[in-house]
Amino acid sequence: MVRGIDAAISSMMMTQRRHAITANNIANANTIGFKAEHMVAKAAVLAPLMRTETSESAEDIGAMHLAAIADEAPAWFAQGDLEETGAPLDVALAYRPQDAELTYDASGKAVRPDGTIAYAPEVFFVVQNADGQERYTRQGQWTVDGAGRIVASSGALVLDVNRQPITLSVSPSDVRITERGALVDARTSQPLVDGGGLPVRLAVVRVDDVHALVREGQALWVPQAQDPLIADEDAVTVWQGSVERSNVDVGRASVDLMTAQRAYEANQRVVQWLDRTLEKAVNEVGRV
Amino acid sequence: MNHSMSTSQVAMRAVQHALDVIAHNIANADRYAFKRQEVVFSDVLTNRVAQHGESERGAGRWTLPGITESGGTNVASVRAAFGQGALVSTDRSLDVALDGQALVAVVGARDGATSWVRGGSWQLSPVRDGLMLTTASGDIVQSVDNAPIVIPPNHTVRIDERGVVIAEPQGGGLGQEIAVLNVRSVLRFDVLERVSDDRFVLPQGVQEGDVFGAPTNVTVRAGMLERSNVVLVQEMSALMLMQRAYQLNARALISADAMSGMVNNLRG
Repeated sequence: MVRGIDAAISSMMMTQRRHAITANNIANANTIGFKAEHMVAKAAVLAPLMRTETSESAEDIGAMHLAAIADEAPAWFAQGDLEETGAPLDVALAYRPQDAELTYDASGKAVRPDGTIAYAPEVFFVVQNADGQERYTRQGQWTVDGAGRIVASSGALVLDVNRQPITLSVSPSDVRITERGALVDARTSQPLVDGGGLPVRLAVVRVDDVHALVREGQALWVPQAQDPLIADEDAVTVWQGSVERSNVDVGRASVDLMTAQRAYEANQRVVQWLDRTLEKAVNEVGRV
Repeated sequence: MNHSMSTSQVAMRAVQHALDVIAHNIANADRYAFKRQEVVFSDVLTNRVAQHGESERGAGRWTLPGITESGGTNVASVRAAFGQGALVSTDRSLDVALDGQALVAVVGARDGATSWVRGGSWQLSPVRDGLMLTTASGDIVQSVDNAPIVIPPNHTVRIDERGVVIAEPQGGGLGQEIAVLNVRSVLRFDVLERVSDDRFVLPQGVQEGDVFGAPTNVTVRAGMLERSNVVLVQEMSALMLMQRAYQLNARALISADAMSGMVNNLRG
């Protein structure tokens, strides 16, 4: 039958997904620490094309794609705007990846001299969910629970560099967080210490393979590797009293909605035209 | 069926919640000792699905197998901002405001349950042996000894900066310290449960010592009231932002609806 119908329908399904991802970006335009997603489409179902001139010989003359699918939806990790709130446990991360040889573009991508693509590393806070597993987050709107531990909005415990929950012995308003993530008693300027007498510092990890992180919802990312804590040379700043706004560009998202809708419309037009072609074949060809 | 529709609908509900909170803040901007609230949004993930024919990681693909099906946004929590409100002078000796991060204990006249307030326009209610100090809504103000504060007849009352209640005989004479207000510093404000716009209680299972500490850096200001910590300009800009967010989500919903319409009319 007419294979174009399948191609057009698969493209409609792909466009539907692009629309859903854009709708989700718009939905999270005000979610602190949210990273926008974008969809990558791919041509799929490769059918070989053969030229047959005689009944004995068939020559391979290439291939054609019969479908388009939504291949993946990577996150766009670009820095969101910082918004000052003044709350003591609102914390934002600002990071400028530095590489002597590579310059990253706005999407965090760079091309190496050998032509391969490198992605900029990103930094995250480390939290522990109810199951005791580590998750990464950029959402720093924290509070304190009844036991004095710092918790994220999802209820996950915020961890320090020793991967232990942080228990505050002082009121959150008396906590100062330095630009390197160390917790200091604002009244005495002495570092806050944990049960073992060691100074408390927020765990901030640098993830080099950012696209290996899996989105979990509730502003959390599932790590896939043991990522190192940030080193002194990493240009990371921990901003206390600020939050990192969502990096969704609503203007672009609005345009994406329109283009997705129109692409959908165009594809359903194609289906209708092909249907009319079939109609001719069924009802008119061979009529005497 | 159409994932965009549920995403937008869920997000509109969350934004509506945020609008409600902002409206509540604005409505209470002139209420004494009101603490503003704000919502914390969080993204919702419904699923991660594998796609037929998707490529391998590395071979033209950035991420691990599968594609996320996200479900919009919801309100993860509503936080109260415990910032100090401006103090206004009223010259009424029973108007009490707290300067500093603290609360003062009161007890319900009927149920006897302890709750915590930021001060307010207090009253004197007649009891058998004098006048008892109560809040405007009739709750009994507690002393550090967890007892009601009763002012003997023919005395006027004065409250000093440390929260000491002094009864002075009418017509002059030496004042007498009769009680100390149960003022406590709040260490973990986020734990407290808000029962009304100016009253907080300890949630079940939480001990008083987990939340409160001895009063430090607190001044009791009699003859003053604390205004709300709502900044109207801030609320209005948040309101505009949320209204636009609502509109954008509605736009996405309309667009998803148009796409469904196209499928319905595919047969022409």
